[in-house]
Amino acid sequence: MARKGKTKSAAKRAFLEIRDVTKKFGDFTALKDITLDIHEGELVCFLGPSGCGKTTLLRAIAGLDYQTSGRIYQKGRDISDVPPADRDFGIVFQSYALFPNLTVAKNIAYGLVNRRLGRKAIADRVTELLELVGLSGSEDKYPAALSGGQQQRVALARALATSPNMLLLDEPLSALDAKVRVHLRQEMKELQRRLGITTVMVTHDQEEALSMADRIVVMNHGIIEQVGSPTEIYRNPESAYVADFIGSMNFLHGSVTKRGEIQVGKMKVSVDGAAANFATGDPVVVCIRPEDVAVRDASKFKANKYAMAIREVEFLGSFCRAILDVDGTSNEELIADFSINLMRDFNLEHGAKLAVALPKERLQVFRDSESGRQ
Amino acid sequence: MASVELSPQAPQGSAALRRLRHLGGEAWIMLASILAIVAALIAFLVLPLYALLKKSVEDDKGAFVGLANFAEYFTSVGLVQSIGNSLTIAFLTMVIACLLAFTFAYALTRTCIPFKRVFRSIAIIPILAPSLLPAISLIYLFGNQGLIKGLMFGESIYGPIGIMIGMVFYIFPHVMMIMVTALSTTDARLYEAADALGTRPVRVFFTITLPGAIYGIVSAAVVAFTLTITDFGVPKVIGGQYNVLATDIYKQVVGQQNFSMGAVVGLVLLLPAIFSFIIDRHVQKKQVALLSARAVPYHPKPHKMRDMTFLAYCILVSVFLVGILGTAAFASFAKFWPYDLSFSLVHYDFDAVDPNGWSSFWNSLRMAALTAVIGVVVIFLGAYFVEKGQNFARLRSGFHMLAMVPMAVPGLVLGLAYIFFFSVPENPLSPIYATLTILVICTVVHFYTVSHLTMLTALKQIDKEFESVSASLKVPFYKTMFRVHVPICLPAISEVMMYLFVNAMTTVSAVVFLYSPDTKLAAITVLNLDDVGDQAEAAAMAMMIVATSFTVRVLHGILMRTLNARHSAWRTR
Repeated sequence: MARKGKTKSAAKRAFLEIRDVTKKFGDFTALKDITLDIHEGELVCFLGPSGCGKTTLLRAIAGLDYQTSGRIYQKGRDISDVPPADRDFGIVFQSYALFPNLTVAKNIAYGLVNRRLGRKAIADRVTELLELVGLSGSEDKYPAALSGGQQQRVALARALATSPNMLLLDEPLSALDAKVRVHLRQEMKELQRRLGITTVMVTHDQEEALSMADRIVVMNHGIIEQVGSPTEIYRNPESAYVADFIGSMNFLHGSVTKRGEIQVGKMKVSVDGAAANFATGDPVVVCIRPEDVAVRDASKFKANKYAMAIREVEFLGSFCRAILDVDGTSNEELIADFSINLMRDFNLEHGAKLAVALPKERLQVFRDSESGRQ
Repeated sequence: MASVELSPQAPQGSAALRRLRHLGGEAWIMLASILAIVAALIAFLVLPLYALLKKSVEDDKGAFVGLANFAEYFTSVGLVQSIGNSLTIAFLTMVIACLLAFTFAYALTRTCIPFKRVFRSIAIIPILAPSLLPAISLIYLFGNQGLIKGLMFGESIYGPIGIMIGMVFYIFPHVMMIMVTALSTTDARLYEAADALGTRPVRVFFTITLPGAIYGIVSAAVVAFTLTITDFGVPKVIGGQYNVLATDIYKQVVGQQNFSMGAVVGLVLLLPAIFSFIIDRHVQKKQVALLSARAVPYHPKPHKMRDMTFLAYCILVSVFLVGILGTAAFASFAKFWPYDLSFSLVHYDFDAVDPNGWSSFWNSLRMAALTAVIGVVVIFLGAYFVEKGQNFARLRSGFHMLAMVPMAVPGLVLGLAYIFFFSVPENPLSPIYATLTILVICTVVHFYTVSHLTMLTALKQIDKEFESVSASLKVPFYKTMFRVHVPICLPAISEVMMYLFVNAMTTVSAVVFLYSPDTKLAAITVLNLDDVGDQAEAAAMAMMIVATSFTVRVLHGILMRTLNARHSAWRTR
């Protein structure tokens, strides 16, 4: 399962090691043999649809729900059966869980008071933290008087107050408006980088994961589908599921006619590299992202050039999404994203004919049975 | 599949053990607290009830006689007749009270009559008084020397008629409040749709209003039935020769010292109570889904004819309620009813008629205060553990089930069970018998369920992640409970304390078996004074209870207002 060979330095153990963690709720298996390393200082996103087990895994790391079997080590210490109070983490929930009857300052100082710090030291720390999250001067306000985004920052400040070595974020941005969300995720990422705190974030929002994470853990039905950097996940999905879940993807169903050549309807697609490693006759899907469908300089490509017609055009503001008729087959269609420039330059409109190329290096091929999807 | 099923079983057990070793000090504190409360409920509820059950199959000397007592009971014509009497009274009272209360609640929720708050306050009056009070007032009004005896047209108030009128007064607020809740939770859009389709008002009532409130109505009817069949104060004072189950228990135990027979009657009385309890639970479960979150609240529009009719009706009901209370007040201040009606405080000189007169009132105050304080602490902790506890899920849900039991146990039965359990010298707990302590414990247990549910509702509204946050910040749960949950729950805490206090002041049923001369309570003094014919003094003592309950309610109101003002800062909207 150690997919990231390069970060595995010889003797040093990862900050957090998750080994064969399984969680069952009655007959339902929420997590199945999860093994994962999280390294010091990185921001890891658990990404997946609801019910994929990402929150369950986070709660197991925190000790809020114990795993049924498997071990978890933090800095080499076995914390598998340790209650949350004896683990080292700060947590922010989707609801923020701010104490409504305490002021912002008291909320942030909540964990400090228990550490028997002096009153002055606590006040200084609160001021420092409020500054850090950009809410200076809000000490005496009650949470109800703050906006959602501000409450989220207070929750973050409270989680950071005791200087934990690990930050856990459970859908921290989901309750916010779209605009605030975009703004805050930049801020949080920057803050995390500045503090260098190891962070695990759970989200179902791929955009959030792509823009914030150092590494993304794509989960589905209690297992890990893929671990990798946002670019790796986006560019080289390891399964049709990941390809489909992250971003938009065309799935062209076909079968291998000979090594490096796939027949999709009447269209021949040639592939190379790992994509060519299928036996003749294998049912496969050929995947290409809509933005990778080439029109400009299509003639320069040596292979995979086709003449297609535009069936529909959908105007989406900064770009257009076109549905192309794959020549000769009515049941296969290709979605392509065209910039407004391209649309103008090539005079593309409903019904227009055009030459497109499917660049070899942008193609992914998976066995068709791997995913039950279209 | 089988192998997958099997393998995790073995490590699961050992994992639980490993975790137990890792459990921090606070988990042990929580476990110890839950076990303490569970042990208390077993000692003060389960074991006494078991003692009652055991007593019913024993003779006077404690020898096992099987069902002989039951056989004797069901062959005694007089006793069996009480079952019929009780059922008749309970059924008729239920029907009358539900009709009256539904109409009243309808006026408060679905019409535009003025003074709704005033009417609502008046409707609460009976809660403040012991159930003996309406019976005493009815005797003053319609008794042998009654002021308006003529209205009875020759019928006697001493008997079923008196019991029923007194009962309707006594249970009215309980029934009315459930009806108001049932009628308040409706979706205005249904009415708008009916209106748009041109539906006639009568059809709207029978197709929308009534079906929407049906669960509330059933629930109210069940409460009415149970309260009536288990109440002891009204039939004791005004029942005359008309025997019911509640008075039978009292007569068997206090009058004839026939404890085994008392236990049998107690078990018979337990049946309708348990039955109603089951119906009510069932109905409550169904009610939850009735109202969607997107429902639009209903606001009645003025309609002159309808509003005037309902206003007249509400005034009529209010006159009845205030009249009953007023009669007792008036009688307590009248020098010598009905001959000399001049004002006098002579009937408030309780020590002149009963050596424990005034002291019983102070006993009641102490008992009620202790019940409120001790009760609220135990009930809050219990509800907190049920709702917010982290480990020991099975223990917590078991405790919750146990907390539901007192609702199904009538006060008389509980009191009787306490005699059987605590009066036995071999019982290590027997020293508390005949002390104020046992009265406090009995009262807390008697009113546990409603308080527990009130507290649970308040706690459910608090974010369930507070415990997780608290743990992540290394703050023990009890600190967060004190700093966060208690302040947020203050309104509910005040509510429960008031509920316990007022009920402790007015209750007779459970404590009537448990008091000693030193620990006599005001409500029991009312009963005794009435028994020996000192009616004016009985009315005066009942008025003392009303005045005390009223004061506590007002204090609660003031406290709520201050809390609201103080807490509005941290309430979201």
